[in-house]
Amino acid sequence: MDLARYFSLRQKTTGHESTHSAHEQKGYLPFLANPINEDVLEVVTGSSFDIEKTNTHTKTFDSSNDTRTLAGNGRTSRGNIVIYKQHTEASTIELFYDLFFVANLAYFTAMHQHTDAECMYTVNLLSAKTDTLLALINYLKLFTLVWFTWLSVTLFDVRFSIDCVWNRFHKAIQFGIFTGFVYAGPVFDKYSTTGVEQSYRRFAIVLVIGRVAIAIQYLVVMWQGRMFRQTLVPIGLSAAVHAAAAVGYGFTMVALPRGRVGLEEQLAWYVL
Amino acid sequence: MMTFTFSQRLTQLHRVIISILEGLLIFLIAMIWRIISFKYTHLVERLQLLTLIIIGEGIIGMVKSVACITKGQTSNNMSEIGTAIAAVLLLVRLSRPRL
Repeated sequence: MDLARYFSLRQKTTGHESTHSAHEQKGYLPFLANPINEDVLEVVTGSSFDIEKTNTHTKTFDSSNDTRTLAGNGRTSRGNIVIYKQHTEASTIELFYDLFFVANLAYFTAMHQHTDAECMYTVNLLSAKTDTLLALINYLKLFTLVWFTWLSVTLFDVRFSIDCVWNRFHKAIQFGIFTGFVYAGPVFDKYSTTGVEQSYRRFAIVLVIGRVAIAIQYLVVMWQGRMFRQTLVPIGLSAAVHAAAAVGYGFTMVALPRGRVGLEEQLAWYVL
Repeated sequence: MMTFTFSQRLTQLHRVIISILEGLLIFLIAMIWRIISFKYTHLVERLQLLTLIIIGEGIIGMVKSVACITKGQTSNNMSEIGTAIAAVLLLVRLSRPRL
């Protein structure tokens, strides 16, 4: 870590001589960057791969710098090891992802304004009110789906995301997922009755692909941090949760092929 | 076309339930195994930025509504102007809670 700082200093001081090394530093993006802190790798060399052991071992002589939140050597002030690299601020691609989210939201908001305007022209006041309520509930459902999709991607990103080709590829997948949310439009728009079934199915496919991609990302991180046995279970469980969600969405596609299903099937879904 | 059956109202509710459960489970896992917790991450910053962007989206909607109101009439009455000012103040208040 300190060496990198010296390199950058040397580039500033010696002008044209360092062009070669600058080219070397720029290079290509690594295909698969490791989210593991290198300092931790230095700490856990040798046979002591168990983090609990090293934690208790190092806790005694690391207590001098309690004031700093993040001390050196990849540890916090209390001597706990921070395994994964820390980010201090959001990267550009994450903000771009937020923009995709908001674009989706804007699209559906515009669609539902249209719906609400149509609701006002119905003669019966009671049916108009129920229609508005249903439109609101539909909007809430859709917002929940979009936001939880965003959330699961973000929860991965803030912990494990490192700028590399693999993660950018997955970001591209997630952009595609949010673009694929347009299939949800006819399903949630109660006025367009044509093509509901088809778009319902395609929307399920979109959801499945998104969750499978996140699960694969978790699995890759799990494989990269396989020397820390404590991380294997939680990351594996996270991947399993996303995989199970993917299976669930796929099941909604296969088992409930129409947008409208019977009551007993709905009850089965409540139980699940 | 306007009539709704019960099952039609519940369209896609199971997907919503799945997604909510999924998000909660991920949080729960991070809470139980503290080693992958969100303590030193920029999750709060991400949420703040998303809130800001969504409020920007709200401003777009508000301006559209104001344009829709003022389009058809020549003179504005005071209550409409007051409503617009209140909407702006609400958005400012939302975007900067410490103001």
